[in-house]
Amino acid sequence: MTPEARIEELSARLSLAQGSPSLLVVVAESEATLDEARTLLVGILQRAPMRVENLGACGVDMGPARWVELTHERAADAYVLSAAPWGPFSGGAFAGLLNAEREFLRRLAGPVLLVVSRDTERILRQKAPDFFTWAARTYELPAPAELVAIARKLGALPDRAPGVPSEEPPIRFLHLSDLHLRPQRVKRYDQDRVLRGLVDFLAQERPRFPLDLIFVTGDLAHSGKPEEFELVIELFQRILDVTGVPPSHFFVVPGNHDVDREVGRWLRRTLDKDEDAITFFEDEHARRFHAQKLEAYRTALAPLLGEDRALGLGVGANAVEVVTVRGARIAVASFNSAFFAQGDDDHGKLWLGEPNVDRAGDRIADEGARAAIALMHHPFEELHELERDIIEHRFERLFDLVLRGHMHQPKSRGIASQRGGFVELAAPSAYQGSPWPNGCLLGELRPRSGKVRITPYTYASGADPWVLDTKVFPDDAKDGYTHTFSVPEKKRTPSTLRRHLAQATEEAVEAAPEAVQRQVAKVLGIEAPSSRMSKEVAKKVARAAAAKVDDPALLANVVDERRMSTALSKTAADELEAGGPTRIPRSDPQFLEKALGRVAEFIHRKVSGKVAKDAAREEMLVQLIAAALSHIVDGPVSVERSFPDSPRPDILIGNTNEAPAVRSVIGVRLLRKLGDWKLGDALDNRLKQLDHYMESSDAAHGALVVIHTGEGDAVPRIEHAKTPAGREVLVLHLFW
Amino acid sequence: MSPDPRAKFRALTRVFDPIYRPYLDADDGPGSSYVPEAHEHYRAELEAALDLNDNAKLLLAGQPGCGKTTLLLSIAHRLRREGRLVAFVDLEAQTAVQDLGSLEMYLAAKAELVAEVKKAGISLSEKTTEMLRSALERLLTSPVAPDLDALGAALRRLLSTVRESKLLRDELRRQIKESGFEPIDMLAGLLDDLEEHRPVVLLDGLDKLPPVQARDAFLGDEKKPMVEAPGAAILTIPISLIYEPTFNVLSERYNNAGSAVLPAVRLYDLNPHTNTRRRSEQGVSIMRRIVEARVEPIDARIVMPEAVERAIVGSGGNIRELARLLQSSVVKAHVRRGTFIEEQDVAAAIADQRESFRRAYDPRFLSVLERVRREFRLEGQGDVTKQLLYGLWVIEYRNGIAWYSLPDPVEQLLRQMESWAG
Repeated sequence: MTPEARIEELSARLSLAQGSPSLLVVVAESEATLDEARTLLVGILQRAPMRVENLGACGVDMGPARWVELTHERAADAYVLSAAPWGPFSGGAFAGLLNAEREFLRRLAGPVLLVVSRDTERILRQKAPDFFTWAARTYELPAPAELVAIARKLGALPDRAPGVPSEEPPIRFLHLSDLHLRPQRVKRYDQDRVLRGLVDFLAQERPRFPLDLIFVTGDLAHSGKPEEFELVIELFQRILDVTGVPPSHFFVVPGNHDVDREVGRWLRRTLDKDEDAITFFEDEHARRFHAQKLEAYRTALAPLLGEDRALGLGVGANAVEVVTVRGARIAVASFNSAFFAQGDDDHGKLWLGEPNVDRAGDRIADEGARAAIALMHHPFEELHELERDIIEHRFERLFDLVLRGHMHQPKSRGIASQRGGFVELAAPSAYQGSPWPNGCLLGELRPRSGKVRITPYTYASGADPWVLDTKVFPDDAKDGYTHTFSVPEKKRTPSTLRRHLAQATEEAVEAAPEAVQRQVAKVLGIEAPSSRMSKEVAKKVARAAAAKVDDPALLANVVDERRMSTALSKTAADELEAGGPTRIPRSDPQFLEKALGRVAEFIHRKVSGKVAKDAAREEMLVQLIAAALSHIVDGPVSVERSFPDSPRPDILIGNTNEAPAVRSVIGVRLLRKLGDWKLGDALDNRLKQLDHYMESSDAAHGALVVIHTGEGDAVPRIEHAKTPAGREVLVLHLFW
Repeated sequence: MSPDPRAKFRALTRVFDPIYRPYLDADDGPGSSYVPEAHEHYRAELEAALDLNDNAKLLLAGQPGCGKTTLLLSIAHRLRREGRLVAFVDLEAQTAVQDLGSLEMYLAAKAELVAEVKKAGISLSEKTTEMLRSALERLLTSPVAPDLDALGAALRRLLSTVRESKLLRDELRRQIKESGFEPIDMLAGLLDDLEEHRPVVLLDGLDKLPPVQARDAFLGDEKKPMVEAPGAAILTIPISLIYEPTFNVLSERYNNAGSAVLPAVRLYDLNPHTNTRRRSEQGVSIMRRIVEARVEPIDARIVMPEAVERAIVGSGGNIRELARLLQSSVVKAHVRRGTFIEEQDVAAAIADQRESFRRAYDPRFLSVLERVRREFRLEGQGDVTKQLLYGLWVIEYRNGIAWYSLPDPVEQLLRQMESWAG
């Protein structure tokens, strides 16, 4: 059936059913366009000679009982309403409500069209089967563009603005910066007046400009003291309350004034070499003292915004958070540019860290976010000259929007380069005393069309304290002093691991028997011919599977262990070879401990959490650890293991003709947490086995790698242990 | 009689809507769509069991849309004519089935019984009235007059309170627990009092309980619904429990209750020896009668016989599905500006149904189901079974046999499961 015929039939069915209770379900492609689709549909249906009433969006607590009331309140021949229960839990609850109240459908005043997204339909079919059997039919709604075309043909486009409904709904955000809050004795009144004005302004704007995201780019406090953060929390809480933005959509990074300057005065003021920067940003241990300077910041904000939030404290992949706003996935990277901020002479001493930005970029590319936003406090100029340009280039490749503060001056520019480019927005100071300018930016981001529109606001002491700032974009008078920037398109490259896994998947699917290929094709929704599959189709399926590498179930079912471990080993090679620190010589008596530390760091950072937990096998992990070691240790690393519990050690470092002091054996053990597992026993047995290995291989060093699965994602740790025979060995605990 | 074919189309669309219940239109007794041929055998069995034993507790199960409610209504009608006191408790309508506890169930039963008592002009003994009155007074914390009207109103008020919100429900449950006033005791008292009228309680809609709750209610260690109440009762039970090996346990708790599992109407007879099937004229004629019963007051000639034939085959014996197909056909004919519902309309409606079915269930589940079917190994029944049966229909449809029938593999499967249970 053509979309037009479908709509015609829908309309015919409604007109036949008018006045008698009936339920029709209309399925739209996505949640993002639901409201728009409903409005268009009502417009189209109203062209038929019947009265169609738009009942609007239905809340999750509005079941058929409420629909009955609504339909009886308004006299019409047919009714349209849409429902978008957000998230899996409310979806289930809504389905439960519909199922429970389906009896009320008999009392409807007329036919009701329920517009839901495909996801919701799936939930309803699963969780509200009885409700669903009462639906007379399910109709699929044509794509929004087709719907617009049909509406236009019938002359039914809503008259408020022709053509507008097809426009992408914007993601609205607020950008604040540099609040410098402190308990002031003299100027307390002034500070309150400006900020209370801001809160009132946001509350008043809410109906017209409902915010989706809030960004605060640093200098919340004045000197990083807990009592200052109390004021910050109080203000943020009020902002959250009046705007209705969930705490998970409120992003904050620290600035130089959020650092407690009395802590860590003796710490390094900057880094001098690239290598130092790599160590600093790759190794959590290396920056633990610098992180302490932000302790007051963290303890204040984490309880308000969420304990697991980035808040500019996470580095690399942990700096990135992905939120979904009306169907669009937005990645926000919160960078801490204030690691090395101490006094007022920070210029040229700050580091953002190339590895930090790279890992964040990997995560953004792997998540497949539609738009990426970077938050940091300082401008690029303040970064250390060694990395300033590199970081800026990386940003051009990765981010659509860079939000910053620090200079207390609104400044905005769009950069387009061969690498892509971004729009950089510097917010003015939100509070620096009423005689000086205080301001904030409101933005509307349209990721699909690559546009961001900025409206600057400023504090003006009057009855209406926050007003449009006409001085920021003086040339845009005809657009109401707002400016629309274009965001250049990006090509983000996925991370090494993802690339290798994708390749492994592609190869595996291509090499698989036809039955497996068919299964994969089916899972991916690819139409496979009923006759023999041609090479081209198989290739297409393989490529589609490679693009879906994030699906752990698919990976586990298709990619075998050998391929998986090859992919992981390749990742280890690429990651550790690429300009990493030099290899550890085996003449170092502590070489094993150092090497294991690096292996642990690599696995913890790069691999765990990306490969499905169920896919983890001891064999695979042995391969992975050996591959990583061979890039870390200077010397031969061989996998000796032939089968589990074989008399040979799993991994051997060093040749048999070398001295025992430079040789080491490593055992690998995978522990799955299943109820009350007795860890001690298993470990003792393994240590006994290790004794045996060390004796038979004549090695002076021995280590046991224990990989715990199902116990959460903890930081790896190395312990010293004694074997039953009294040898000193190392035990590395990894958490997968 | 109406000269306007559109008006007839409108009426047809209405009577074939899945929401429509014929008995709501009928003045008395069951609605017009009960066809004796369909479930007469089961009705006879259930009625015989009720006749023999005044304390019989019977269980009734069946696929959605196979006519359980229609059957129960018809039984209610017949029993009333025999002079027995029948309370037909529509739990689907009475309370939120998703969160149904014994409290709501018994309250609804009591409300229905009191209404019936009043209708039949019987009077309750003073003791029972006082018991009901004092209990309700305590729960509602307002005075209740000791007459049937007031009691009925109070019960209805309590029910609607219970329906309002989960908080109120929990609160009420807590109160009842504290007062030590079991709702079942109240119901038992009431039924005891009415003993000479041979009361029968029909609990319809219990089969719509969500799987977990169904298991708790019927198979858990708690008291089973209605087990301790005197008098006769018929309960619908979820189809998922029928194939449980524990059905024996269940039936023991109900004093070896009689049970009936209503199948979808059989359109084919299976020959187990040759493993072939033949069209069952009897099944088809039942379905035809059902359509006729619904079309009859409008204009039987408006639906062409071939169209009905096609719809019957397409429905695979599911009554609700048959109605839905015919409703879609009416719309198709209307869009086509036809005067009659013809075979082509039904064919188009079937194509649409398939399309939406394919969209909703493809491709997530089919590969899994096909594998399950191939290997024929099943663990954990209940809701899985229900989904599986549903999914198997889809496979069968994809193989080109029918859209919505209960095909051989399912029957084999069911037999297999029953043999495991035995």
